[in-house]
Amino acid sequence: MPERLEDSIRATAPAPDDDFLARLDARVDAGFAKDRTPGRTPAKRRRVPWLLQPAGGLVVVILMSVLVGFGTLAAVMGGGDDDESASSSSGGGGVAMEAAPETSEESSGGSGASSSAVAPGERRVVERRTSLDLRTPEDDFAETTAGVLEVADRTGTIVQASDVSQRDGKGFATYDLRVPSSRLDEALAALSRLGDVRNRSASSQDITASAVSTADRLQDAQDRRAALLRALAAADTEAERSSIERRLRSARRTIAQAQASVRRIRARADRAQVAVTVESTGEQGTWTPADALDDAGRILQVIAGVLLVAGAVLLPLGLVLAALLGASRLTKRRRREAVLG
Amino acid sequence: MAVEDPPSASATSFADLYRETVRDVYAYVATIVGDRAAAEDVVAAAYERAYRKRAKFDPRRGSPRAWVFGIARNAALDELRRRKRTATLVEEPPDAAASGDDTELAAQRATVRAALLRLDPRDREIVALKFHGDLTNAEVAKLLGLSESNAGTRLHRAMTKLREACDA
Repeated sequence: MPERLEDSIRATAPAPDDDFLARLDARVDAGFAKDRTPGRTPAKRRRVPWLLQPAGGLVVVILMSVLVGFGTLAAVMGGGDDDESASSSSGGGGVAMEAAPETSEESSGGSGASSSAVAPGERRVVERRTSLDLRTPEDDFAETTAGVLEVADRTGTIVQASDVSQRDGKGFATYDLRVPSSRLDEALAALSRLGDVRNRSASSQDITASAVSTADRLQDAQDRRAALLRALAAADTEAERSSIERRLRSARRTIAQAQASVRRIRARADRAQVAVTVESTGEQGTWTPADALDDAGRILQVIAGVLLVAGAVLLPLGLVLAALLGASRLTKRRRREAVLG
Repeated sequence: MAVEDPPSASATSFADLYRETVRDVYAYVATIVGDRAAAEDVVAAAYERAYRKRAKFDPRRGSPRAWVFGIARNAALDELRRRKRTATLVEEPPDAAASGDDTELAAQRATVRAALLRLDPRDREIVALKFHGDLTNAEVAKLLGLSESNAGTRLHRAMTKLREACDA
């Protein structure tokens, strides 16, 4: 009975030479120790150089991402060692007029304006001035100065002028603030919490008399203008009219000046003048758990940013690389199998 | 070594895999390369390559046996490309078991061997993988990058051609 074809194929399988098997057995047992038989192994497949290019690019991108990440991290952690200075000033002043909410006569500096002309029971008009000196550890300086502006924003304060300078880690900042009188206490309390208060002084000046006399002056001028207008209407001669008109012009100038004075006085009463200085002590602040939490948050923020940027770069690059690798494998396989065709 | 054991587990397990597969790998490689010396070179290189890459073996992607055959196939095709010549199998010595008593069997095997040599290289390869390499249809399919059913169809056609060549 003839042998099955499958069995015949198996039986005709080429068998290896015993010597070859013995040699290969020995090499396998030796773990293919560096004993390559020269000239007996087929030439090693060459790497396709263009495949290395995207891989190299990927490595460069990763390295750059890491460097950028560390750079940003260092910037976040290091604070400001570089010289840094900023100054600004803004003109302005609120003129929304209300009488001073309270009458305070803690101290009176300078003007010697008399308040005797003020009628009893009339609301007092007071100008308030405060200065506040804060000291803060070196690494909290930026935060403290930012805090001053934050308080200003929150309380509707006008920053009339500011100057911030930082050199070799030591900083000094001055702020000239115009705080709404109604929120002065709130603003001072908030500012005092920003650092170590080294000096705080307050003064107030009763400007009620000036306010009253200026208001009176304005009223007088307005009355005078009204009288002149009436006289002008009743004037008979040209010379008389011309004289009245000249006096009218003078009265109008006086009114304008008086109105400006009134506005200035109201502005002084409406907004307290607060001078804030912030000075860094040159010492490192104590690292509290709150600082640690803050730092950890910032680090995580930076890491997330770096990962996002790296992902945005690496994802398309990875897709391109994967497509290239897939195409390369397919091409290599087809090229290999072409010899069977 | 059990076939399922990963060859990366130890040098011993790799040696077991080698001993279990080397004759079949040689038979397959010799069939497609068609030259004893070249087949020996390719088989040695394939096992060395497998040994170096044994840590990368992933059992989820196939059996160790199929993995070794894949490496051997790549090495054989590379060798063919390098030599730039088509395979011609050298005459194998007659099967020892069949030589003395059964001349009819020996003649039948010689016919099969000759018919196999006349087959298209792709058909010869799939027959060699199946019957010299003793791989399953699924393993053959994975090795050749085909679906299992496609591999089965191609094997069937190759066997039909071989049968016809034997009968001719």
